[in-house]
Amino acid sequence: MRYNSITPTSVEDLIYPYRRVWLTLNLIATSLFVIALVFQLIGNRLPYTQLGKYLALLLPFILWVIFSFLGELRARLPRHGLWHTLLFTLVIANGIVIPVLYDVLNVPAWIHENTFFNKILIHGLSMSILPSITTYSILVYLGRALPFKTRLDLLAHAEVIAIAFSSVDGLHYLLRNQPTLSSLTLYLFGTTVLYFISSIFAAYALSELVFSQQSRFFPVIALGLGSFMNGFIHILKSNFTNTKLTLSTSAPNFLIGLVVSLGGIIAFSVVLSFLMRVAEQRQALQTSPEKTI
Amino acid sequence: MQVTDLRHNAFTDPTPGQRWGHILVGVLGVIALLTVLNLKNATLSRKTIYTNVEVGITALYPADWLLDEPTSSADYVFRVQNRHERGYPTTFQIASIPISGDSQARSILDLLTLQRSKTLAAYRTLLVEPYQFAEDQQGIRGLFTYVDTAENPFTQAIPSVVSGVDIVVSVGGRALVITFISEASNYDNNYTLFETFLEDLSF
Repeated sequence: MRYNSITPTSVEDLIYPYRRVWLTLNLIATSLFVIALVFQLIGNRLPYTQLGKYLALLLPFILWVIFSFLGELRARLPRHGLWHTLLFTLVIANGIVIPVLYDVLNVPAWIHENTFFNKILIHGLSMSILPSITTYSILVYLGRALPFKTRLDLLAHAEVIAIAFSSVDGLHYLLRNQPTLSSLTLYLFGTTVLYFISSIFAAYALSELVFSQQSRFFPVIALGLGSFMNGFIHILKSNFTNTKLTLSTSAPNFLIGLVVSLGGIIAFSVVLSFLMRVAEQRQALQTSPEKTI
Repeated sequence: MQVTDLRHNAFTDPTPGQRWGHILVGVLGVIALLTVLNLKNATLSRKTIYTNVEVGITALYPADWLLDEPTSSADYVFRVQNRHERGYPTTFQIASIPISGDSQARSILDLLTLQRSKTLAAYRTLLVEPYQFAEDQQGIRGLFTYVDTAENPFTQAIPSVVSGVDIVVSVGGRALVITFISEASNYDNNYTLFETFLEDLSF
């Protein structure tokens, strides 16, 4: 049961009664960045425990519960259906998306044989665009049952979809490779950022089509561009985090790689939040009764 | 903040433009999938030629595999390995063994079994059967398995089960032993590559 407070509601709550999705999305990414960094620095000194790895696997989900789900509970108008989206996506990810990416395409096994620009193309057409399109399709499908009233409702659900993808991807990675704890946290950070970027582009493309009545080609263009930019960020990060073999040292620049990933998600968030806000204001002006233009 | 309930007109009853938008996204997905599958095949089918005039073999092997130049003490003349794989690297290997006129290909397989049983953990011969090369050349094929316990200082890997195939064929006064070894979990996929390797092999 939910009780209303007897204290006056803050002005900010009246202006914006929803949970701030962009903020929580970046908080999750930043928290994973810090965790991955800490494990990279102390990881080799930690004892080998399988339980610890399975707990680490839950990190994206736990962070989502802390920042997003609890945030929804605190908001004046919480969004509904996030758990439905999570469970539905877990099934889709485990049954279709991850097997297609790692069993059918198996991109990580052969992408290294290509040049830098080909890698971006291949990554964009596979690891970036397929999760993007799946996120878009899930949102369209769930939109029949869930009340998507604002653009950020789509983003909130896209965020959950990314968390589900990242968790299932991490589980498959753990079962396939038996990585160390530090490698697992690094992988989880990389995949979470990858799926976050895919998801925010999917949410943006769908929101423009649905709420702004954009051209029918808009989603294809937005998803295509977003995927190639996502591929660029990911390949750049991989080039930094992979060990360079030189005569003097063989230490990887993992810190630069992590910063590139984090910078990528923050930069895309800033740009797309600006575009969504502008679109929303434009729509408000068009539908406002005091329209003066 | 503009709040619009578009549940009924946008998701349950989309406009033709929105419907086409969704369809075009699906088409984009199919095109992306087909393009990547095509790029995968193009990348994986790149090959490098290997010729050994002394033994008289010419082989084509995957371009990114590591060619092992044998030393004088090595018991093989050609070996390539897929070093990009996790776990045991898929290996194609050719050995040339001098034989006398009345030696049987089967005795070569028995000799290999005896040698490997001493050095490899849980070595088992699974099957021995005749093998027909494309050029009407009769050989013999033996399937085996063992547990690879070699330690890697860089990974926390558990011992892996590997499976393999030996094909022995007599050529003049020697027997060629063509060996394929792969991680058992990925045996079927890698065996397809080995079949292509055999098709391209000439001796």
